[in-house]
Amino acid sequence: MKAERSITAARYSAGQTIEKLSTFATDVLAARHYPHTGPVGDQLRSLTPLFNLLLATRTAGSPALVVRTGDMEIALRIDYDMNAEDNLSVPSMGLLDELPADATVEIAVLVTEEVAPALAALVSRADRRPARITLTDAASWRPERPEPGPDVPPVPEPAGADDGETSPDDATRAEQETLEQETLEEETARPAR
Amino acid sequence: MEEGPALYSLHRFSGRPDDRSPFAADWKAIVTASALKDTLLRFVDTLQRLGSVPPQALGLRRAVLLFGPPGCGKTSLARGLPYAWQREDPRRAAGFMHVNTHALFSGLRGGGQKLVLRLFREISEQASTGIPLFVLIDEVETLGSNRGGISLETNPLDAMYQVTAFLESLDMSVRDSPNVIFVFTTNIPKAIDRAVRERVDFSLEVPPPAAAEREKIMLSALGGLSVAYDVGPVQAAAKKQVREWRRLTQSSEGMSGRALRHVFVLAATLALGSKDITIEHVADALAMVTATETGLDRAGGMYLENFQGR
Repeated sequence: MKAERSITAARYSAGQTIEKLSTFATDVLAARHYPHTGPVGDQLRSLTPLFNLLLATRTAGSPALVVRTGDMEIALRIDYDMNAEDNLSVPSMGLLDELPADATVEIAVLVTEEVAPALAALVSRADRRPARITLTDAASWRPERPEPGPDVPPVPEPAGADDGETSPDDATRAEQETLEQETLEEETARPAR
Repeated sequence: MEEGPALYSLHRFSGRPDDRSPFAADWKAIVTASALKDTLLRFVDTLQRLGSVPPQALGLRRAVLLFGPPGCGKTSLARGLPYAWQREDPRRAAGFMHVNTHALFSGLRGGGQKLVLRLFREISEQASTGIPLFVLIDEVETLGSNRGGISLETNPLDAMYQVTAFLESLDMSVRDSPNVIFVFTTNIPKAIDRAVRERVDFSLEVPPPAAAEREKIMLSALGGLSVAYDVGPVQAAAKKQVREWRRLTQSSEGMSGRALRHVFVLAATLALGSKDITIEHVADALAMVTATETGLDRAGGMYLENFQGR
């Protein structure tokens, strides 16, 4: 299961935001009846100095926190826009199995800038059982999303296509389509002004 | 924080089928033409087989609309479908999401749209588990109302926008979540926006039960009563196909399965003082129900209005 939630940092003190981040992560695990939610919460709260820096300097990634198990990836984004909507609702987990005590739980803290070695060491110290906690460069993190289907239905094979021959008209059309596609890709790749 | 009534309830079917679950009871309780149940099951198989076909190629919507009079089992069929489909092969797994349509409305401007968008976001989240997800939207006309019938004087544009949000979300779901199967139900197909009607792969009518089906329903209701009453005389009458029993099955024509079962509740009420239920109790109950229906038809359901106007 993949889901994304958000918290509006501008509405809370840093301490409250950090508490909500930690509670959300543990609530997600509790929804799957994971027995070690308390220790995971402690692991996250031990990173308070790091989260304080990320909130103050706005260097948390988007998302800022990802809770991951084999069959679940819940991302939490931090918004700074006062008008953004908070959504810390825990997704329904009824379609997933309970998380056993020995399940591998990974929590990634995503950052947009390198943090001081002392804070990175804090993460290393927190990275112990039950949850694996990592400090991850936001630029290198990509959510796994399914590829959307094509917008245009596939063109049916013309009669006689099985013989493997291509008529000159077909070849010209194919070249034209390739050219149009390349032009489109170039336009898409060009930065917006 | 998002609040309000739950938008849906969720259930998972996997492993050994639970034949005592409410979903199994729903599926079994519906005495209908077996072809209807079979078509629904084959539709799901077909969607599985067409899983890799781009939806645009067939205009595939992965949705079916069940329509028919109230009490004929549309919702029960839809609730039992994932159970019955998973039961065919216990290696399968399926999810079932029953949308609380009433929870999708809001008095706030734009609130309804937001709720629809939130619902579909959560459908997408649940679908991301990868297992076939059956989504039941009951009384779909409340969500996909015919926009031609929406009065802009009495309804703000929100009602229109909510239908639009529903349509766009359906399209997106078909594109992005090929494992979602929508089942819509309605008693009022004409109240559904044409754009919604065209967003189902096909529609199936769930009609009132035919004579043979009514008889099965009556026997099933008797079976239920047998826990508290002696229903032997009526069962014997049914077995012998005595004239009174045949008259009961004939005179109940047009009744829904639910209404027919309720006749036996009234029969039990009439027989409260005795330990057994007789065919006369059932006949009296049926006559009372029929008289009530006739009375309501004559009054047009307007007793309150008549009283106020007096």
